[in-house]
Amino acid sequence: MPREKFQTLTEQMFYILLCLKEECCGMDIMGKVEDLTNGRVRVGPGTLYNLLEQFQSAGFIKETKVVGRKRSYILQEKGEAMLREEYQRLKKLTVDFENMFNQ
Amino acid sequence: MAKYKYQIGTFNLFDYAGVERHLEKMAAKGWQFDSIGSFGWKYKKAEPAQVKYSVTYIPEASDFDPEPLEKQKEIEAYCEEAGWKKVGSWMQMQIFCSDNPEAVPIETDEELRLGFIEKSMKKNLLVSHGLLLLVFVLNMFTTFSTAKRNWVEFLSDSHRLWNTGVWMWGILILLIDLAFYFGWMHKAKKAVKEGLGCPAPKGYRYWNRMAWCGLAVLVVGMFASYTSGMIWFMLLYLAGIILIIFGVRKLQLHLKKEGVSKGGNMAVTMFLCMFLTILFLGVFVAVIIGFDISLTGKKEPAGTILLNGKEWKIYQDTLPLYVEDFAETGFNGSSREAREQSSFLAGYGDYEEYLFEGEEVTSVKVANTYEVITVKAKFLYDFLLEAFYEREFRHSDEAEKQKTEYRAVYESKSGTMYRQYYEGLPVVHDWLVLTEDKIVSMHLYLDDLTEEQMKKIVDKFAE
Repeated sequence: MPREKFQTLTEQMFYILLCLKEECCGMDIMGKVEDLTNGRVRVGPGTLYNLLEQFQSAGFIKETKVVGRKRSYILQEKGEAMLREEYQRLKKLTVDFENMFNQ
Repeated sequence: MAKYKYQIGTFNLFDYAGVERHLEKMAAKGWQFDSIGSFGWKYKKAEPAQVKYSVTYIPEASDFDPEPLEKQKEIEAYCEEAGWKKVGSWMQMQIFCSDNPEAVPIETDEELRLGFIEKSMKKNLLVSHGLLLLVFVLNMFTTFSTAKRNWVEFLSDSHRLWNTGVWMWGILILLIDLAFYFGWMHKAKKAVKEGLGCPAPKGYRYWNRMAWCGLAVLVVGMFASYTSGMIWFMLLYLAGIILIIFGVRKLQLHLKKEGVSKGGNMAVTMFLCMFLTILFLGVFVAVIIGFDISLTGKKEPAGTILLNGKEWKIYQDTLPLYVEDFAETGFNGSSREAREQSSFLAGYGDYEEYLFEGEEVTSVKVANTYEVITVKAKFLYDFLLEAFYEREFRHSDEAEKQKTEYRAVYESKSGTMYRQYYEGLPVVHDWLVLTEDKIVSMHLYLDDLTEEQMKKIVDKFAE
């Protein structure tokens, strides 16, 4: 996926980054996202692996430890900025909605 | 009941949904996917079960890798965590299955999936199809540039027509395969952009089956056009080619199992594939030449004569026209030779009749050599007539062609007989007969023909 795609995040990308606010093993993210969204968002293992690889090369996350095939990651400043930007964008959407319907 | 079942894969690498659904259907019927080997897709007999299949693509992966790449192993571990068990791989496609009907699909981001499919296809289909297309088109180019020199011979040669059909069909298969892929990729990109999933490549499997059936029909047709003795010889040839393909694939899998590096395996497999093919074709051609085997059957002469002290072979073949059909001869010796070939489009015959007298032959008394083109596909009549003229005057320059003409000398319902004229004067031996379906060029070494004789000749060819 080209990096310019990260200008906005998909729901899956958003929740993966969100889960990595605290150090977390890559494989555990699948369960965490599901719990966090009450099963509304589900990330497939292939998609998760590839997104983690891309986030890491974009500097959004950092690998913290490797135990066997289990790799742990944590969110980096760049990733947090991306999350905050997305949060602002989503907030703006809700504000615009409220302005139109709750006048 | 058989323990294993084999199927020839009729899927294209990009058709992930087709593969997933097919494997699920097979499992429901009691055939669980086992592996992909040299004999196609292998299934193991099992209790019918609701098994879920999911595939993912790793563009870096290759069938030549001695063992899975680190990336493959890591993805497998992620999949295992999500309840998916790896059951096999096909080039870049990694195949997983799960007993849990609620298991999250391996790929949940369509754009990401599409990107990997595109990369995998560039490594596979585009390279293999591109190379094959180049070989096939070059072959067709050579075939047609040879055919252009003599269309009559080409269109009346059943073997060459079937052979050309096989190659043309091959080109069509490759082009339609590519069209399917690019068409699907275009639609899939559009769908993903609109937030939808990748569409299923409709009709590909039906086309694929049809393509293979078509190819089988053409190959059978090609074999049927050979003489019965030759069919066995050609079947042996086909078996040899199939054996090379399976043998090389078996070797590739063996080298992979033995841990030979990707580069080493590729080099050995490709070298051996080329070496065996060249060796096999060399031996095949050597046997044909060495044992003087003819693809169209051989003809034995009826005897020999001594003509001015030199031995000549004579034949007693059946001809469409004998000199005695239209002229009094009375000579006691003859040689009648026919060389014929025929296809569903046209027939071509080259005939020679020589009449001589006595035991010690000193000269040929009458000679009639003629070619008959039988047009079976009516729409080809003008084209074949044109091709005949072109070949007849292939050694003449434009000025000579201008000086030559055919004048009608006899006309009836059956056809027309022409005589060749050069600079306004009749060419003594050269005649042309055109009937509804025949083009006959005759070089008759006999005194002038009467109208009655011309009628007999035209009627004979019109029969």
